[in-house]
Amino acid sequence: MLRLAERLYRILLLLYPEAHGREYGPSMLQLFRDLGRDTYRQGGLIGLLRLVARMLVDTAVNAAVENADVLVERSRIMTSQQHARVIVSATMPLMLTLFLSVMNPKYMLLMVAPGSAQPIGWLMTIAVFVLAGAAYVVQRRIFAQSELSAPDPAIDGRMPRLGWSLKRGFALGLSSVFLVLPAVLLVVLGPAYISVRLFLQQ
Amino acid sequence: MPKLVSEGDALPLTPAVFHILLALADQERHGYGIMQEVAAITQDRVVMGPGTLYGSIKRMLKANLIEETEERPDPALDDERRRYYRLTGQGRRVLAAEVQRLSALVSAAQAKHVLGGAEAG
Repeated sequence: MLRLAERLYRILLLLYPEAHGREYGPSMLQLFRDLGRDTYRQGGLIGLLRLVARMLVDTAVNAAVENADVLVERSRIMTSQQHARVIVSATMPLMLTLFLSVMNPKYMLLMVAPGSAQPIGWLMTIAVFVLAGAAYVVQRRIFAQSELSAPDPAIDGRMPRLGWSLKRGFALGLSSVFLVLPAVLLVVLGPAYISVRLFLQQ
Repeated sequence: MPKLVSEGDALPLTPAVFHILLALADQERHGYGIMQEVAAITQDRVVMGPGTLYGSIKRMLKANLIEETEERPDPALDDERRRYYRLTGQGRRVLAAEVQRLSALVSAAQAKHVLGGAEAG
């Protein structure tokens, strides 16, 4: 059980910026290992589950802070062209929503309704997620070319079982949640609110 | 390159930074040692997660409030992979200034009989 919790925490560590993970990842993992061992000894399985829940919150808050720090730091050294590329890539989901809404407001409603079994609803939802992921990759490629091609940092000094590219891809997928979340709020919750209001007005 | 800040500029400290400085006031400690000491000082009211702890440590190293040390309290008993931290002179001055600030606040609260009022209420 402890090993499973440790594996989960290793995955959570991938949410931190690469440089932070390289510098503090092994220490954070060691600390989690110590804490997990003591918590399990004192509180058993329930205690360990509580600890994992606390670590989820701890990681969500602190990984967001660290990623924001990196973005602010990088934005200071960006050229205006790089600024433009990031803004364009990061606002792609928003631009798609605006474009479709201008073309025909009903597309906004279709986007929020994959459950309505309309193919275009599914397609639009997938497109938004793909664009958000692409935005993240573009941002990474502009600023972290060397990081992407760097050898596996091998957290804790041991080679991971998963291949480097698979692990990297998984990390990118998890990290893009930070970009997907605003897109979901913009593209899903906003129009959902509109559809509910329209429904209630009928 | 550590960024030097004056004691006044650093105040008030965030709770995490204050607790870490306080935990390191008497001796150098590793991450888990800091976490345990903070829990002991606060009667388990403050339990920092690894993210909060190492995020704060990173910023404190940058602000030259703490430094990493190679010394080990007992090298034979300790895991050499652990990283130990200790206060710098700047960190000690900032901690003293923060304690003084908090002490002045406690004095002001006492002058207003805040504790007496709470007990009576």
